[in-house]
Amino acid sequence: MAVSDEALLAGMAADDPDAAAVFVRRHQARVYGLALLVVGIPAVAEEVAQETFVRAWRHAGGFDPRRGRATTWLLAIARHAAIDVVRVRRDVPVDPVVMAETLVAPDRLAERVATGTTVDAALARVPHEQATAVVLASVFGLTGAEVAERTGVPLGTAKTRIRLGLRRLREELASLREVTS
Amino acid sequence: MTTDRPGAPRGGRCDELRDALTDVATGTADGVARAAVGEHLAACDRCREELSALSAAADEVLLLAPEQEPPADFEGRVLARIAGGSGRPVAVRRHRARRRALAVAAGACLALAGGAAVWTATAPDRELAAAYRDTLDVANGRSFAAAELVARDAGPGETPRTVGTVFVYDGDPSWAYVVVGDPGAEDSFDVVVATGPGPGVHPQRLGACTVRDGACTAGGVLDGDPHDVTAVRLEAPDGSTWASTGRPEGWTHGW
Repeated sequence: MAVSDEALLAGMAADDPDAAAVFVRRHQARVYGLALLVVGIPAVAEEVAQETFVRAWRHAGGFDPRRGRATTWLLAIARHAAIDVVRVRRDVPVDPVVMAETLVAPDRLAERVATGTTVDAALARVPHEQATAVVLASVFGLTGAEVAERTGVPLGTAKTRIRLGLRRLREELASLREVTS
Repeated sequence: MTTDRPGAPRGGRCDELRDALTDVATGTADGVARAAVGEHLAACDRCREELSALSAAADEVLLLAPEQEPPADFEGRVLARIAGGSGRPVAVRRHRARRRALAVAAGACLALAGGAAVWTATAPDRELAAAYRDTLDVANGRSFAAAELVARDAGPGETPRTVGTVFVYDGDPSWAYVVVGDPGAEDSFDVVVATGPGPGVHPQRLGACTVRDGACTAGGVLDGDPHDVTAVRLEAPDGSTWASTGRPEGWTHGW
């Protein structure tokens, strides 16, 4: 049986490089995929992904399984590392609005729902403008003002979309988990 | 139309902080919003639960990103970096490796961005980034962050004013330094560094910031990991918080 992520992180916290190797192999495609989505340049994405695992190694002892899964903990680290890079570079060839629209396109969500991805199913039930705003904030780190500017809506509308969208997403995730459990 | 669920936080301060709470959950809040939410959470269980649930939902969104296999031997390069500096703390050579990687990245970027004009236009950014890394290398530093100190004495409807700046350095040693340019009518402050939201975590007192010629400065070596710093406060002699900041800009829980 595969070793759990929690056990691997405990091993990393105890300076076990073998645990780190298994952890990296298990998660590298997700981490690199997220980094590439946000920064858009393969070499920079690899740097971000490497930095993510170094930070995970450094903070492995601080991982608290009661607060969430190791995968989302790690992806949150990757997101922060990617956004750090985007904020100091003006040459990132990614248009967050185009990417967010692509991620929450109904056809794509429906396709991924069929493969059993809970967050896709939940987002498919969130109004499209709200889902886009939530992705812009949560994945690309855009503030309400930046979402307003990039999507051409008033600041109040952007903030409302993010707020209502995130709450709706939380409810849909909870409801889907109830059904599956 | 979607509305907040019936069990969602209600009430004056909770309603005022709805957007700020959302920003903290998505990781886009600025230092002032973080500080305001942090202070409120200490006294509001419902908002604390709300933030926990919203943060979990925001993190789930990251699973939307399509998986992509990184270039060959990615794992080997990560393990080399970890072994090279144990990850904690990171040695100087890590920055050198990073500089090489960034040079490669910059080259790739040049090709993608489609021309020398873009390369030239971004030269000041690259020079700044290189100078920053050189500065860190000199003192085995890993990062340097700054945040505004905002006075707490603004009345209802008034814009809180920035009274100073906190600098936090993550290196060997790690330290924090406070510069207050607008001390108001106070003669001195205690500089207090708060680390971690949990109970049992004692704030560190860095020392007194004594006003001379309308300004004061104070600083010291941090006892703990600077990544754990959640706020820096200036306490007036009566023990009240006169000014504070949230976590320095760019610092996050996944730092």
